[in-house]
Amino acid sequence: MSAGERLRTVWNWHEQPLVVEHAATSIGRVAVGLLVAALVPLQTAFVVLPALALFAFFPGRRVEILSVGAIVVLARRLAPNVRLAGIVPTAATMLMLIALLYLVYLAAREFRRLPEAVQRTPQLWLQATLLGFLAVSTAVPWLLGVPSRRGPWLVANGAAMLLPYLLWRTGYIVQAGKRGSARSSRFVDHFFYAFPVWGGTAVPYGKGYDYLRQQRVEGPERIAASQLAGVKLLFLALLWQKLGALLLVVIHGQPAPSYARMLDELSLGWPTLGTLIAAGSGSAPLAVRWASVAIELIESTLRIAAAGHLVIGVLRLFGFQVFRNTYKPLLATSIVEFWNRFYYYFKELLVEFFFFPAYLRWFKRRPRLRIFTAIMVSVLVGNLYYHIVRDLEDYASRGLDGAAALVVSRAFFCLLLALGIFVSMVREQERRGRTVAATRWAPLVTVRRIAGVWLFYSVIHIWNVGPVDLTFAQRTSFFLGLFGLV
Amino acid sequence: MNRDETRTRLLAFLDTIRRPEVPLSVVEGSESLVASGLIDSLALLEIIAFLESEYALDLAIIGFDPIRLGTVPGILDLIEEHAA
Repeated sequence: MSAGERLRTVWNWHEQPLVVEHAATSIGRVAVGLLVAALVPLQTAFVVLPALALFAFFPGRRVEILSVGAIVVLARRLAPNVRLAGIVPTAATMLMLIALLYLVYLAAREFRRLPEAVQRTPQLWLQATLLGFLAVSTAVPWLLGVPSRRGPWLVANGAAMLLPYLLWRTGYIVQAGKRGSARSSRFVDHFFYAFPVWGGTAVPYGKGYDYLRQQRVEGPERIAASQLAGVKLLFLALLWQKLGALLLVVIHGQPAPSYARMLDELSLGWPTLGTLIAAGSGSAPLAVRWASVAIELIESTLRIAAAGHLVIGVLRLFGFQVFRNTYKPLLATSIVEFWNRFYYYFKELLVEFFFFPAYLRWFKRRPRLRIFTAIMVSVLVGNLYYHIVRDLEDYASRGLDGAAALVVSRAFFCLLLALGIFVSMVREQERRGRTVAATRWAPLVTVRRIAGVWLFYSVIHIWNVGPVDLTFAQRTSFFLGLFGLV
Repeated sequence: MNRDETRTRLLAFLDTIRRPEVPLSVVEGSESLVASGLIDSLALLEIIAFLESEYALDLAIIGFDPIRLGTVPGILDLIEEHAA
């Protein structure tokens, strides 16, 4: 066995048959539980560990176990003002949300009995209904001049505040309805991923019913293999999180954690990209500005990888062998490949709810225009829509001008991303079927492509990086300054 | 056209869009076309175009399911159920 093969064996320890065999035993399961306890944050462990223990005893009841966990997650996700108002408003809000989910489930199960117009565009109807509920629960108390944080309006408002979180999860329920797979499903088969124990954001990591059902593994050894893969991701999550924290110390001069005090003296003290943009082009030498642009890409990749690995790691502990959310994006050799590897479940959301619906309907006889339109609908319109709905409360609090200022930078970022993905997709299609010549220059070509991808994503990130208050003019001026144009 | 003929035609098409370094034989059963490495996820677009042009399937109407389109048996079932 060569040194490389030996290294691969060590790195892929979780796939070794002997390790998997041991992990499937009672002692192995306890060991997995202890590892999880050591690797996940306390607030995650609070729900995950009891659920994992129950799963070890009742492996055939994972959906029911995760559904009980979902009730805990739902209670924790409620707005503080609802929880502080006491047990009755809390329970009423939870019941209202569960009832709403049940209605969506019923619609999916009886999909063929829905009006034809709804069957044609079910996602549009779902979005309109949920956002309509959000609008009514917010606007009516305001119009009537009654306090929205009391009585029935508190419950309605509390439920509505969670709708952006539920929007795409219910979208996957409806999607299962359209495909016919929800017909024989139970309510709990959907409830457990509506408020997932594995965490996440408004983006449904692990998608919905169809994908989770496909990726679900059975049998002690296959579950053990999935759990070990999960433990490995949890370890990587912790590693990337610590590495990210060290970069903040070494690059940006933030105070070092106690275990890395010696790094304080090594700090470069460079501002973050957001700080540099706010300070203007003249605030740092050109080399530092370019370095900050590149470093921000590395830092944001570490952040998203750490967060995503934690979520997917936990999901794998329950025997769902789902794809990673982030998979080596910094080694991608094309823009479209990076997009696929950086934030997989957000990309999937855009592809499934925006790209394919557009691609299947419009410009069938004009392939290039067909792809271009589908990309614009998903990467530009879908991406913007997702963020506006997610941050609706923030947008509303800023007024029209403030909201428009936020949208402009985001829209410009999405437009550049969409154009880059379109060009990259077309080039990939043209390349398909061609073998890469194995010349001695091939590694250099790969490095050049990776560098091109880095350059593209790090530069367009100027219009996306936080803080959100940075104006479009500030961001654009910083970009022009990178080329000595300002 | 029976299932075997359809399968032969489908495999001939997949041969034109597959990655050169991955042989067609990796998807003899119900293996995923993408997960097996035979095609990339972009190639799904070409499979859609193939189904539209060769079998007049309108996936906007019959429902698009990438999981189903991701295996040879899944695609064959789709053609059998819906081809005109």
